[in-house]
Amino acid sequence: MHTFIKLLFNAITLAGIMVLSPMAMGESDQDNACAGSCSAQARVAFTINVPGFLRFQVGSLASIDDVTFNVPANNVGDASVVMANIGGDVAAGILTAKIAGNVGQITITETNNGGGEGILGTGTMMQVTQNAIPYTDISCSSNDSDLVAPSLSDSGGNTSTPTLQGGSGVTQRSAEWTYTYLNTTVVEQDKYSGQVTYTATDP
Amino acid sequence: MKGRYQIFLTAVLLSCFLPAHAVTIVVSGLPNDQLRIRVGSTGSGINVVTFNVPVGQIGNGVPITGTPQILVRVTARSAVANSKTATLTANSLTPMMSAGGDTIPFTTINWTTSDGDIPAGAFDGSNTQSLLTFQNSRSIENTHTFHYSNVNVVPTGTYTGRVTYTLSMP
Repeated sequence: MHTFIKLLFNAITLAGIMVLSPMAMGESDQDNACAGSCSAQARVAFTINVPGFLRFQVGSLASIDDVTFNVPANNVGDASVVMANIGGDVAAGILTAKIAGNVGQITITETNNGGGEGILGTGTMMQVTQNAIPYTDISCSSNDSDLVAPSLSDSGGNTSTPTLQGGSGVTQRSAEWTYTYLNTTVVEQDKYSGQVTYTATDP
Repeated sequence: MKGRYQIFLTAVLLSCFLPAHAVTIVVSGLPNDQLRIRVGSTGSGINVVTFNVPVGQIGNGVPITGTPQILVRVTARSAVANSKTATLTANSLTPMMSAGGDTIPFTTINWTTSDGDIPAGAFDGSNTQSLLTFQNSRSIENTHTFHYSNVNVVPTGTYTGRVTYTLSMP
């Protein structure tokens, strides 16, 4: 009889443990003694951390492209457009332009090293008045209207805004920018040289 | 538990040396149908799986593994004479959202598992995605490792959201 009671007690105790064992922690739920349909729910949360970035390329990755226009003597200042002879990672006068970022609307700004005087003649550096060609005589066209270069100017500061992707804060654009010399002014014989810097900024 | 009851019954018969009468064992105090679900580690509150996308890999298609791994355990019980089918579903309808209002759908999240008891898969962005069905009474569990597909460049931000797991039985 003693053995019977002891064993019976143990059996009930085990059953009790199965039913009443402490709930494991974390998000948990239980539906006990449900009659009919039962349900229990638990949740898990997710977090994705995405940092901001901005990448911008004009021309060759590892060097500054030197785009050169050799104006025929018979065409100086006659407004005939002069194509580039050398310089450019795609072809003479043609540069790759790429921009990517996830930081909202990007603005591209042009500046130059001419001090507001234009493209300066290197043969007249010691003169009071240096020969100069206005930056407005350098035209840049794009093969993608979603990524155009800002118009060049002697003072610098012109801007362009690449088109965002579907209205989101993301930009992923690629184009080819082609430079030509508009040759609108008769200028003195000289070698004219200048450097343009494009700067991409986020809001 | 069935094995333990069998041993118990045999021990009772042997120890009591009862005459040839039927023995009735009444097990009382157990509930009717019962369901239990646990998602996450020990501790209180909702576990958070975090994905940190390196700046040089945003949207490059290389999956990002989240931490921590998540334990998923489901238990369903009903009487043997009234055995039922339990179903585990997931609600991933509401996408993850940043403070700026940009969203990442849960269809970009998939998981691998420590074994095949609860299958690996990917959220389908619905409110009743079936993950597992099983006949009770059983307890099933395994550990889930979640991955973010990272196939799109998305606006910068911290995106948060929740998935609700539901264990149900008719």
